[in-house]
Amino acid sequence: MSDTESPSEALSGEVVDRLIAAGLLRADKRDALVSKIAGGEMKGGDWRVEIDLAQLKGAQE
Amino acid sequence: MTATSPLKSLAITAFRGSTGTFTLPFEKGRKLTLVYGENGTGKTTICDALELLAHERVSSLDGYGLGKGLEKYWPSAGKTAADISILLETGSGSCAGIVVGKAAQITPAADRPKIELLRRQQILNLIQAQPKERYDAIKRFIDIGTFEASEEALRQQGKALTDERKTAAQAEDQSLEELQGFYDTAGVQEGLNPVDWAKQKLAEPDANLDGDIGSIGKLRSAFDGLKLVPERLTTRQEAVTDATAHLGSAEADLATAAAAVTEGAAETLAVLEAGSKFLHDHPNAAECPLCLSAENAATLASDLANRLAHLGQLRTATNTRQQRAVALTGAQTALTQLDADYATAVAAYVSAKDGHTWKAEVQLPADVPPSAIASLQSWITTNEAHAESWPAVEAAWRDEKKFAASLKAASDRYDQNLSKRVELDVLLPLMDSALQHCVDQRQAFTNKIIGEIAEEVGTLYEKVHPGEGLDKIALPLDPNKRASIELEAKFSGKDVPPQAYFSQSHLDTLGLCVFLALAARDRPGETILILDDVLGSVDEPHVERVVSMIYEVSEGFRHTIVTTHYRPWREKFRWGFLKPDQVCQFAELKLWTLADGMALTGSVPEIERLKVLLADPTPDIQSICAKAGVILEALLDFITLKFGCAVPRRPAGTYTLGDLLPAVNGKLLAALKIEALDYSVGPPPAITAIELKPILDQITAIAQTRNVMGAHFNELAFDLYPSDGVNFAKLVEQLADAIICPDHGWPGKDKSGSYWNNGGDTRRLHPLKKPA
Repeated sequence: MSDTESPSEALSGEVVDRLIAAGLLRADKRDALVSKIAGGEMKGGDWRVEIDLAQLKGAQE
Repeated sequence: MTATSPLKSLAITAFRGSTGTFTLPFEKGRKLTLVYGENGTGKTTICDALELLAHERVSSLDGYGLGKGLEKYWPSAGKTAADISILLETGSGSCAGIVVGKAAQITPAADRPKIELLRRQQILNLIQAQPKERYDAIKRFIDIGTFEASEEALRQQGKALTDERKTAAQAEDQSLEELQGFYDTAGVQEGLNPVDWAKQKLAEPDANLDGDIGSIGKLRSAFDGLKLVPERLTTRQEAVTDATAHLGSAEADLATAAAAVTEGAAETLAVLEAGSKFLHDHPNAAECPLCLSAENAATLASDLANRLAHLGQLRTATNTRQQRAVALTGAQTALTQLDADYATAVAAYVSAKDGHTWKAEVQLPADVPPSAIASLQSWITTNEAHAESWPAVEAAWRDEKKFAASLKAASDRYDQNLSKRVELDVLLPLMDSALQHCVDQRQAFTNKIIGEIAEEVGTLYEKVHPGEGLDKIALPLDPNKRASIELEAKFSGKDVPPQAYFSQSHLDTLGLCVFLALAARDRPGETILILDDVLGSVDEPHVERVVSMIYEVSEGFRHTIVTTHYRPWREKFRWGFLKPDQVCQFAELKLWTLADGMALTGSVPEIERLKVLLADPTPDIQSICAKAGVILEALLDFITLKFGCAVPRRPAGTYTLGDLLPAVNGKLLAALKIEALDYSVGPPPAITAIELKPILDQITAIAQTRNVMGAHFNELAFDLYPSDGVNFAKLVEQLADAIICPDHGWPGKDKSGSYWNNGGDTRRLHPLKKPA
């Protein structure tokens, strides 16, 4: 955790990396997702869409 | 003012113990300031002033039952809030605090210092706190509330989708029951379940009833059209008959009317009508306007009227006859048209019948309608039974179509619900997995931070209580209580709450370690660490380790201010026994008075005092020898201890120069060497090697000077020159300068494995071990 990074931001970074590795989120959206999750702005529908899109992208690759 | 710039000075006016203006200058290049003072000299005022700048409060007033409105105690005796002024100057600016009304006003607010302040009375707070309060103290490092909001949204979405899946499954079951109903209605077919049956049923090509229904509608319409033809034939034939009769009658009437009219009357009609008009205009005419005869003039008008009447009847009969002739023509045309219409109706029937592939249940006439209309009725009569069966067939088809439509709707509903349930069956585990990742990572993250804090606490505690800290201090999160942290320590191999088994001194140390571990986590480079008299209850054997630990920790902070009234610390610091690895400022407060308030006093180390005495142009030899003797005793005490030299055993362990000097002898004496390292040049630092034997030999030779000239009244002193005392003192000064660094103290550490050195590695004492 850097000096300027809040605990939520640090944790969100770790969680998003883990979810990307598990194929549950898209790697190219990492920073935006970290910011959104850390800010408490990730709503239920957003989670569903992101997981759906990650599956879609995984299926296309 | 940058958050990390060095401190230059702190000026305190009319605040707490500072009745006037007290200024604490911070020495350049020294990040650690030790403030020593007896109780009541103003140490806490320094801490209060920084706390006011940082947090606009003075927590030292808390907990004394002073009630609310503690700001009224901020001004020093005889001063008012308006007199208060605090000014912190740093390398890049300043931050000022005044009191307006009941509140502190800090300018610029953005430049207020960041501090971590631990007071003696707070040291046990974290140890004795309830688990929740302990969590509150730590939560700023693990405050992940916004992340948890996103995690909660994921959790709620998972629950909503679980409910949605349950609803979809119920709807799927309901749809299946519907299909089962259709299936049962249609009659169970071996080897097919309702779903497969429905699919098969809906996929059947003959299930296309729209074509059948449309075609039979056309067929029925065509047949109905044919059925009208015989009646129309009769009607039209009768119309021709009637029209013929009517024409004959009209022709007879015309003949009668023509007979009544004189021959050629028709040609004279215009003349008659003109005469009649003339007579109408000249009712009293006396002669015929045409022949000018007066004969029959009187009846001329009536005669003309009769003749015109006959002509009118003839005209009417003529018109009637024409009309009847037209009517007959029309009737005949209609009769003729019926043939064409019949041909068209036959063609429509044939097209309807032959244009579709009929199912078996449709009964059809075996032949086409006859070409002669006259034979049609017979054909109709023959086939009407077939035609009468068609509406029932059509109705059955319409029912079947409705059945198929309902089946399709039910099948579609089933497909939709199945699709939704299957989709959720795929999605839900992914949502659950994502949530589990969040939970696992969050717990790991939190545990990691708390573990790091506990580890740091253990590391610090280990420095003070070796063997009792590492892996023996834990801050476990209570899994059953959110935001609750226990404090555990190993005691005799068992996990226990330290409050139950630790001594007060151990608890104080633990509290200090917890505070330092927490303070070091939050931007220490921007933080002024303030320890206000926290060594109060640390027992003597551990003080040096606590002090060393504080010194070590302080290096990571922007600046550290340690206040203490612990006199041994002051003395050991002045002697150089307790020097931090970093260069350090020592400030001593003199006793507080109402008139002078707080003030700094000199705190000159003994060696510095000796140097001052030697620098006096009219030296006090007795003082010089006495001071040098004490310093020499300290130096020899250090050497004999480090190398385990043999000295006479005495009660209380008091040794004289006569005991200590001979103890440093033989191979050890020959091997004793100091390396003085100067880091102001290089790297590498300049190293000066100093053999101690020559100095000690010279000191031994004139060691009696101390007792003769510096310890007692002694007539032997009359036989010595003052220069003998000065020489003795200068040799001691030389030895002290060789061994002791004014900034980093004595070479008392053996961690190098090759020599003894001090914290700054500015002095290295050889050898490490006493030669055998």
